[in-house]
Amino acid sequence: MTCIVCHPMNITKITIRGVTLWAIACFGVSARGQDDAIWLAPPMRAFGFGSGNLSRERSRSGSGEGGQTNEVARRRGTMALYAGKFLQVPGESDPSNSLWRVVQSGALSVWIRNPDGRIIDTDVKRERGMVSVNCLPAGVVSNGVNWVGMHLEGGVRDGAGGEKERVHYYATGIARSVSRGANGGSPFTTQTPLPVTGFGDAERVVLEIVPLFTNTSSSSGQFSQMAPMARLGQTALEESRLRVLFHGQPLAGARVEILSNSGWRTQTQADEDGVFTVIPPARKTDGRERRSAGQCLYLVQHREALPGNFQGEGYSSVLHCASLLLSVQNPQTLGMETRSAPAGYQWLAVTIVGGMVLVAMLALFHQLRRRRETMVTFDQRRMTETPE
Amino acid sequence: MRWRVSTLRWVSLTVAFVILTFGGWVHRCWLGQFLPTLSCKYVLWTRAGDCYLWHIQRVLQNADFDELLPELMFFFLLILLLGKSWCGWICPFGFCMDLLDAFRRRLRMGYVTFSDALNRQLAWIKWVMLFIMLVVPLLCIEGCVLSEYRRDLNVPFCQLCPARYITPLFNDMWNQLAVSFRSGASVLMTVLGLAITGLFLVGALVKRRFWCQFCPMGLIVGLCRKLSLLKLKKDCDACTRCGICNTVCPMDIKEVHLERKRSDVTHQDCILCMRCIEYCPEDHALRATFCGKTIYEASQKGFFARERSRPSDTLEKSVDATTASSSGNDHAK
Amino acid sequence: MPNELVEEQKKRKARFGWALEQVTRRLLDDLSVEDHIPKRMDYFLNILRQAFVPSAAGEGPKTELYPGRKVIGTYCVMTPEELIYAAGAVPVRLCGGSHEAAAAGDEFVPRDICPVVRSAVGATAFDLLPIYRRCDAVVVPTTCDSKRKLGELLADFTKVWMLEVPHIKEAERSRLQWLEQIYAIKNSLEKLTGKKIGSKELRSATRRIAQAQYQARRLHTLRKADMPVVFGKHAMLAMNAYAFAEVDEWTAAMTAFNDEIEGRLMAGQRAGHTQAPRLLLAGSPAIFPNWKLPQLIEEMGGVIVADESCVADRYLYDPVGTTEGTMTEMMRALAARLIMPCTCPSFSPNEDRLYRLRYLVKEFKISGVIYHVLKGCLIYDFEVGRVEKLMKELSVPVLRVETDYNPEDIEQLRTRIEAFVEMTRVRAKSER
Repeated sequence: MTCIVCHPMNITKITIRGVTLWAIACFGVSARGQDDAIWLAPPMRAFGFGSGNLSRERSRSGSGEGGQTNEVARRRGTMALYAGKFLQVPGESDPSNSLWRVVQSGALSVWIRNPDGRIIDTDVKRERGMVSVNCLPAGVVSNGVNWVGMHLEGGVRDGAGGEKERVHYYATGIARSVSRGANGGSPFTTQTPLPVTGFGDAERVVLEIVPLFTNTSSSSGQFSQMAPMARLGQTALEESRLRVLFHGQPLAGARVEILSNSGWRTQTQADEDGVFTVIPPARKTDGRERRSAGQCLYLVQHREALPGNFQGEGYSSVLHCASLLLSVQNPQTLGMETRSAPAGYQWLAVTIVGGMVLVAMLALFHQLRRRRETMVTFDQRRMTETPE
Repeated sequence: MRWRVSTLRWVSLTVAFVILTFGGWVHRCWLGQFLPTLSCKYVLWTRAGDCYLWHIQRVLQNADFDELLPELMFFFLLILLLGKSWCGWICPFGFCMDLLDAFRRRLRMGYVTFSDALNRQLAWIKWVMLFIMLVVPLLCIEGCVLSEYRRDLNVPFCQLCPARYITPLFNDMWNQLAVSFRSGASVLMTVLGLAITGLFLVGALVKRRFWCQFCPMGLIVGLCRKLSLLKLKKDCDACTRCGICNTVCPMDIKEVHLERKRSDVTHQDCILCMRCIEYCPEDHALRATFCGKTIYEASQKGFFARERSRPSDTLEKSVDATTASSSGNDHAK
Repeated sequence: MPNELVEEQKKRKARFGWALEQVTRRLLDDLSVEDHIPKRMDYFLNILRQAFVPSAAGEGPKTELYPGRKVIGTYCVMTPEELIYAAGAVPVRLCGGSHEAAAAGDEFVPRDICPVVRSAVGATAFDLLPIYRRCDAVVVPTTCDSKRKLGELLADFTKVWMLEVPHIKEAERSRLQWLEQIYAIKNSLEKLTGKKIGSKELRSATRRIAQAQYQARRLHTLRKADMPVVFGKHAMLAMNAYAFAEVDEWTAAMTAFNDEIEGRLMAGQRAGHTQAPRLLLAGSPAIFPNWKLPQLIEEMGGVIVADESCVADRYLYDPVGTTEGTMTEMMRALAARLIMPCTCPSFSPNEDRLYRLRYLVKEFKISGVIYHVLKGCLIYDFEVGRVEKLMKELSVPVLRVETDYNPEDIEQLRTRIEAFVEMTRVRAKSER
């Protein structure tokens, strides 16, 4: 069975893939290459805005009173757990999807990591079509980047070779939250380096993909006005390095499947350090220069030959499935950095004032000249013989 | 209801300005990136259409000619369809300048006209702008002369264009008014751009539509005026050479007034504001045609209807006096 | 000056004055009892009566015309009347049409020059018409040679402002200089009247004159009709009366006049007989009371449906076009309107006049042109050849009539004009 993927960037390229696309899914392999996965992401539907790209939501929420409410609302429970086909526009998860049933029924633990390393439990709220994660539980410190980690118990099921296997699902993600300082300003500027950690707790999240880059995207200049938050994300057309960790150690040779909601997908393999690189493509825009080039979902699976018993069922191997969702943004094209507004205002003021002064002087000179001139009167002749 | 053309034009300019500058608020409102008008890209996410000059420069700089042909086709199609009325009826920067002009009129300030000699000398500036727009990005292609200044000279005209500094202000975006110290070239370009902006803010207050005689977009659209569907035509026999069209023209075009042979008088500088037609006092002397069909014509009745719309008080009194005296004379006979 | 000479002067003045009065009175009386004169002509005849026959007003000669206001005499159509009204003064067109005044003026100027100037000088020097001396200032544009020397001569009797009209209006520097002249005359008017001319005053004055221009254009359009309903001698006289009337009264009277003409058009009351040829009176202006040519032509069976006289059709033809009420634009528009559309042959080149004539011939369906040349009017005479060539292209016959104010050549003219009218009538009939 083939799955034809047409890359919207380049319609001449048609990729025909084989059927055993095990890398796509964390859950099982079926005759059809499926894109089923479980991942954490900021909720696409938040308080009635409908699905749409994140930049627009962010832009709407960036300014004004309405925006404020959305920001606050999103901070209150910003992450959501999705299960299903990633390549569809994510909104609500499909209740008929088998993975979703697992999510709804299985044991779920979610934690938040504070910037200083402390892990805090947090709770989830299951509602229709969405499982939302409370990213601001008591005890969370949000003056930086908070990682969220999830572990879902998948139970025991039939594996590929007919044997039973136990499945663990892990998902990590970044909870974007920033708290304004006492003076109301954002504590993050371009100069603040962001720590590279990932979720980092190998006990809770055994298999994890950790980003090794720290670029913050455009938190200065134009965009900071709208989204004054530090963002950890990838930049399209630039190399991003990530590492696969298993039990806290690099996992050499791990096969990673990368899906992007622009339709682009690829597979790669980690080297002996567990590191792999990826260059996300820029999203071909429909004319607008979008900030966001979409989202990238990294999926990795690792099978451990570790027999055991789970709730009365025996299994011979354990399958760990991990996912990481990162946003990608288009490379900075508009050149907004290193601007100095005061210098600009000075130049503008000088030219305007200078121009005005010049114009006023000319006008005054012109008017005075015009006011002085009168008609030449002919002098009457002194020797006249006028009849009366 | 009879609409005056100038009112209609104000409405069109306002609507176009609102759509092009704030249309992005409406989901999926996108008119295209090949618009032949200064709908500035730097207004960012609230805009509903792009000025094509930015894209031309990017395309030239990246030597990425894939999408060039269809976009150019659309660009020229739009130009042919509406001709120079893109400048007079749609351009958001033109709207800004007309606002400044209205402000000048409210202050009861007169305006400046340049002599013919000065106009001739200033005509080369828009060709220089066009040159900067087309040639400098080509020189910034990898491997060419200016390629190390790629980042800073990637959109050279946009860094000089006053629309880039002014139209984002309507969206409360003030950081375009800044000098970029990223490199020497960017300092030069932004300083020049700010100086030009300041100059044009002053200029638009003392001269009508000051930027339009320097605008390369206007030049490009103006060069296509022979092919466009919207034209200005003149009946040279009905014209009395009164010069009113020259007085009211914001671009101070005298060729319309002086022409005695040809009937097509769409000038390169003309923004098709149709003020000449509106104020021409001779029937059928000037008319605007679309695809050859007249859509608006000068009329004597219209001219005097406007002049007489507020009759002077003394007139009414005189009517009584005259009728009284003439009836008196009848009796005397 | 010795007493006898003074007495001599007084007698001559009385003689000329009496003759002038008699002639004009008779002319006006004859006109007012003509059949087919519009009823609303009364006002215009009255105005002319008041100007030329002061004793006919009933109460005796008016001692004070326009009390409390300044009166500015104007010559030529290029004087800015809008500015004069804006300053609260009254403009009066002093181009002379009287034979008696011209005879009086022979003393001061060569006999062979334009009778318009001779008449103006005679009227001013001998105080034959009160309006001439009543003027507080006189504006004389430097259009032709005669006018230039007239300005110098009149300086003996009154305050003269000479307005330097550019002869080559194509040159930008000439137009700029003309604009400066307009500003200068504005300053002089302000000084004379003591009233500041602001943009509001100028706008209001322009509007008042625009009303008058509208009525003039209405008349122009009404005369285009296929069936002529008003004689040229009446229409031109109504326009001529504007020289001595104030704009608002004149506009009101003209409105009523036009309404009557329109009524005639609706009712189908033709002026002249059905086969009367439509004629254009071109060339030097026929100025009241030199009304012999219009009367003669229409007596012989023609109808003057169009003219290009600067005291008739061209007097109030060109409007001021401004978009805003600022002083800069209004002055610019005013300066433009005074010279740019003007087809006076004092401008060189004067192609525009040929275009205008062609337009008149086409729009008014002219079958014959009578080209009036005043003896001594060099510039109109110069252009006869050009006009004849144009009319040949348009296949319209032209008759050149050279005359001056003297009524003695009426009979010779009568024969020629009768023949011409007959010829055009036959031609027009055969062409139909």
